Amino acid sequence: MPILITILILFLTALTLLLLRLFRPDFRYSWLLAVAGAFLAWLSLFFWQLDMPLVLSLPPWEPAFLFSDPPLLLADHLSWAYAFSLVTLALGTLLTAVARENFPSVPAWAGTLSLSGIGILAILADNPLTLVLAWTAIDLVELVTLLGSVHGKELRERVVIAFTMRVLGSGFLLWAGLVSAAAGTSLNFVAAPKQAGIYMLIAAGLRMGVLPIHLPFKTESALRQGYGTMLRLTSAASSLILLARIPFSSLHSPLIPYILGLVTLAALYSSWMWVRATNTLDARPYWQLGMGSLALAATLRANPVGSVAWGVALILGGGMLFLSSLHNKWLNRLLLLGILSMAALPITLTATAWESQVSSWWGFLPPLLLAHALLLSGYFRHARRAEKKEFKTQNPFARLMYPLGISVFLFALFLLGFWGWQGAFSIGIWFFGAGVILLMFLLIWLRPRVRALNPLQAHWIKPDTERSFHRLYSAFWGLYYFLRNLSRQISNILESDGGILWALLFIILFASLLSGGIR
Amino acid sequence: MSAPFIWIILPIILAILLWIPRRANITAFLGGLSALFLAALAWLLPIDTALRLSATVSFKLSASLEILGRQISISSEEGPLLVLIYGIASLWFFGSSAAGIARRLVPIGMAITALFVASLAVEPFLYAALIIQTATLIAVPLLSPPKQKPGRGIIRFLIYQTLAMPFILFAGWLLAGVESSPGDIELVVQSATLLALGFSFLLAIFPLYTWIPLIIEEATPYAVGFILWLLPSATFLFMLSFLDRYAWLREFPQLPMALRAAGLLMITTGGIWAAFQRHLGRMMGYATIVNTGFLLLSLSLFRDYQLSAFFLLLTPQALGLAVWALALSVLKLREGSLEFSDIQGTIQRYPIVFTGLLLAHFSAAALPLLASFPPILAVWEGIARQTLVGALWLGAGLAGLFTGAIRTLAVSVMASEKSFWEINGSWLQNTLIGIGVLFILILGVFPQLLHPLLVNLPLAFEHLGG
Repeated sequence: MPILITILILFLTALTLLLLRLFRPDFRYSWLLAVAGAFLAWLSLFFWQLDMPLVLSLPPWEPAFLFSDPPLLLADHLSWAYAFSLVTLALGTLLTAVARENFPSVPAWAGTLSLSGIGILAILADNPLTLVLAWTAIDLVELVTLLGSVHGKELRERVVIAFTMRVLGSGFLLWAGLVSAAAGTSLNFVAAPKQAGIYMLIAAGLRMGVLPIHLPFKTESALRQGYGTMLRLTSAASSLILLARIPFSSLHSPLIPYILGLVTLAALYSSWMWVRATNTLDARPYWQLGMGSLALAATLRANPVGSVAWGVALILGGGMLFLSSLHNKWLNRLLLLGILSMAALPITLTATAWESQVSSWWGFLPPLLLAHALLLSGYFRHARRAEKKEFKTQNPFARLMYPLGISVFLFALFLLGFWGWQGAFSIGIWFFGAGVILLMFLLIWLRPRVRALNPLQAHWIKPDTERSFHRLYSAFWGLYYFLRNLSRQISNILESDGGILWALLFIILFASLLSGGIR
Repeated sequence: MSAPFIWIILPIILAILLWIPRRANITAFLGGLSALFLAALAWLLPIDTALRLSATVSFKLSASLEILGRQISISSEEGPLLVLIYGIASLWFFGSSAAGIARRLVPIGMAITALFVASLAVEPFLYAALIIQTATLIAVPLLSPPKQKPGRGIIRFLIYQTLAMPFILFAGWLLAGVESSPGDIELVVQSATLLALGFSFLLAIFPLYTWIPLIIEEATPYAVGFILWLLPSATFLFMLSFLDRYAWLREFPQLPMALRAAGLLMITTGGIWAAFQRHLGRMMGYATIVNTGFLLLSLSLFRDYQLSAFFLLLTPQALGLAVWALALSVLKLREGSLEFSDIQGTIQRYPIVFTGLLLAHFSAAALPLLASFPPILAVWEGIARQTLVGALWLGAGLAGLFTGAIRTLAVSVMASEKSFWEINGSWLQNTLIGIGVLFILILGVFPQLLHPLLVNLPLAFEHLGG
């Protein structure tokens, strides 16, 4: 019931906002209504803690014997942390909306609340079927939103490619279910067979944007900052939850070390690009990819709690940074405080992030720690960027509400450090955290002194990664054109005047095979 | 009054009467309403059971009717089948005006539907092959207007459908012998092979489906869509009656494997071919080939699932095809072409039409949340339990179909930066497509809504229905 209450609050508020806009366009309290809805949903999440784990069964698909796993929602201490982060993100997005250019924007607020609701459905999914349904809902919302807001053939093509990659990720999760069915079990997150784990991992990796790595959408900045941030981070959260759900027992594949190697490379590449990027919103995919890679690495090192820690840091830390649009000494300090909770220090959100149940593959740790330090130093640089508007120029209402919006993220980041989920109040491996902080300060000190650490546009070297991606895409298209020509040739033969004779020849062949088989 | 009169003779009379209205809207409305009424009657009226109207008056709908010494009988178990057939036919008739083909599709479609119902009801049931052939001949003017020279597609359609008839008649003739001497392996082989060949022609099994993409380029997509829904559906029901009647055929050890191989061949080739098309109509044609493949696969699982998966597939496939065909017809009417080069960026001018087209396509490719996903998932899982390699081939076919949908999406959104969003298409066209889209989404999330309708359908097949 508490799950239903939270989700209903979010969806009903969104619906009310849209109806009011339709029938009473001059209604003046839409923003207040949106914030009240988000705040109520946020408060309702605390009531989940009274009776965890919570289960909500959705109407089962029938006939029942065709569908082994009915759609089911489960709220436990891992998913609660994600749900709390998502609703905090929605609340923060709405509170900071007062300082954005497009204020008031009722459809964007309704969208923010709905996305939060869909995101919660994805996060609470107790089996792959439910998760795939929620993923697709998010993908379709993202596709429609982006196609409606970006212009130009090339950018729209990228939107379509991104959608394809996400659906491909969903396909891998479905395939994991089929592999389980072939092994005689139904796929669930408690006891996945060992053949299925690798496909679940690939599904999460694909959806988190390992392929293709960078998708900058040159859209209106207000959409990108508010609703756009909500969209990107909800999508990331819905993929990240899978990492916490994959049982380590299902990850016994000889491919695991190679995957960990690829993940480490992705973490290093994205954190490097994040440090050197000039525009924070353009660099958002690198933040997602970098933190997502660390979450994936935690799963591969048998630390699902750690993967949740990285995932929540991605959403809350990222949300706080990407939504900040005003410049002020105290606001900057608030943003920088967030770094503490993301540095794997004791009794912080990420305290458990570097723990591991497996002793092997320790060789991957140094580059992963370096990636972590690069991400934090990049965060430090982006938090202090000068491109934001001056706080003093805002009206008194915005000056009151905006800091509240930023503070709610900080509150959530610190609260999760000592309460509410399995990773709370933990000492963790504190010396890794200390090492990362030192490395971060070293990188910050080196930045003005080492040219390579400076923003990409200021540097004369063009990154080589684009060329290698072009090669990859050229090879793909080469194969595609070869297959297309082949299929066209066969079609031409079968559809030409002699096609009937070819068909009859095939039929005689099949008939002889068939009668041979029967005998 | 008899059941065959209501669901076979009456629709044929209606088909003649529906030529009279001169306005397409009225024809479509009356045709849709008539089909809906026939479906409602099938839902409500008990067959062969006395219905007490008052203390003195009772009414009984007899199950049989004799025509030219042949028996045509519709039992009460076949009622849900009639609901399904006439219910979906009404959907097609209501949309025909928006597709600009009501005056041809509604009368001819009603007659073809009635004939297909007759093919399920005729005794001895081998006469069904002749009735199906008649329906095929009647479909020709629908697919090829009188003033237009018939293209290669229509001729090939006619050749392949006609070739099916002798094979099935010969098979039926041999089957009588098999029944009397089941130990005669030679006879069993001959009859099974002939039957397989007959159904291969009727169902357009690879490589006999070349007429489908050809015909879609020549005729109105909506008319082709209607035939591509009705013809395979009726043929499958005819095939089920064969399986239900002959125990040796039903228990034939190689039958599931043969059905599975044919289904996978259809799905893989249809899906992969769809990925490379540059004509929206041809893409729909290949999707219907994939649909047939799924129906074959669902039948291959009848020992595990009985006919539940088969019947679960029928409605979402028909709904998706209707929305898809309507969207294509609207585009062809307004833009004149369905080639990729001509529709580039047109989503901004026809957002609702393209939404219907794309969602129907994605539904056929089993995108989650859409109508065809639940039944396809059930079939896919059933196949995976038997052979993971088979499941992989099925996945390859779906991936091909999905690639086709993505290419359509990519081409349709490539508008120039200066173009604006606008809603074209008539009110009726957009409304009908919008309603179709809504149902595709609803059935994708709540497939159990179909359960009350589907639960009694397998009862029409006593031995297969479980």
